[in-house]
Amino acid sequence: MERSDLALRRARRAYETTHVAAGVRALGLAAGLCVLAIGLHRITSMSWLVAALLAATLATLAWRGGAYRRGALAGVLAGLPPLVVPSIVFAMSHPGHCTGCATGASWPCMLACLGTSALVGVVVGHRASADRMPRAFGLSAIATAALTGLLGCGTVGLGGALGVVAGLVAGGVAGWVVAGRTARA
Amino acid sequence: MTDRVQLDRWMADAAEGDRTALTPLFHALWPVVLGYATRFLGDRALAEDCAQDALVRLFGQLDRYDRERDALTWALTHTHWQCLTLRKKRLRRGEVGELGEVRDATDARSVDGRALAEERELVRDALATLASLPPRDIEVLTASLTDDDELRRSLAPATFRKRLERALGRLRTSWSSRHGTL
Repeated sequence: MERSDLALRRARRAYETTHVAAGVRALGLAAGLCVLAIGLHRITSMSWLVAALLAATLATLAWRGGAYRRGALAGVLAGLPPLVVPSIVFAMSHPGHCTGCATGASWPCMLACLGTSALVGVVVGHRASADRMPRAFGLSAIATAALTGLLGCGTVGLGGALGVVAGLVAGGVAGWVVAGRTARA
Repeated sequence: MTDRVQLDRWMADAAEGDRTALTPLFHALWPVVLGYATRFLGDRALAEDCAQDALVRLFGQLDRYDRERDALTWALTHTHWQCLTLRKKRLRRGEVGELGEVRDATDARSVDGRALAEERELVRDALATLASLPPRDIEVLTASLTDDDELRRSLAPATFRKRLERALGRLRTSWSSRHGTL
């Protein structure tokens, strides 16, 4: 084997090692989010499914690197308000956890999910349009933001889950359009 | 030789996670990096080790690549650091007597007098350009070239990096005003 081939193999391995390490760090981040969700919300079997999906998505996007990794991390940040705010809203109106959410979500919780998701969606859309690879960034951010938000809003029931997804998509598109118009003006 | 715009593109693509850009990027960089290391160290086998280590480090840090910077310059900076490190290691192990002896011992026969004179002139010009900079810039540049840990420890890594960037920028401007661009 030529020396340059050996060097290429080592260089590739170094590149992949860095990316795999980023994937492992992302798994750690997903674990942290799960702990936060367990502390804040009532955990169902659906929550565990969402948590597993979030871990797999985050690890894959972080391993892929570039705009996908940037978008994934931005999405986690964007997903934090929908994860946290519903429990704050519920705690302000009722004492303790959202105990009645299994049978029917309360309107304040659902509105909090929709509102915060729409707001962060606007920010994500705006930020995505400024990235070098806006589509990759936007898709990764929306995916991880939705899954992070679902860790919280998913426990509110189907209404909360729909709220977080619809809010993020609508907000993201609005933010993208607004950023595009601002750039053209 | 691959043009620099293409090299910048491959480097940026690889930094964005595009694995298909890795092989062409490596094949474009390998001869340049190996040539630089050979000229620096004067020993082909040692230079191959150095080039390999430099590219391994570079590929391991590709996601930190700043697209505003020139890819070739970044690669050669890595190579230069690696050459210095290798030289220091050999010095510590007692394989060479003084800094620069590796090159003098192995390369003396192959480098003719004219090339040596040109190189001396280049070094003299570089030192004169360096001397024209403010003392703080000289301090930072010297610390970066000599691994002066004292100054590095006294500053936050980001501050040191910013100061170094500013100092290099002023050095580049000063060199361009005296000798034009390369």
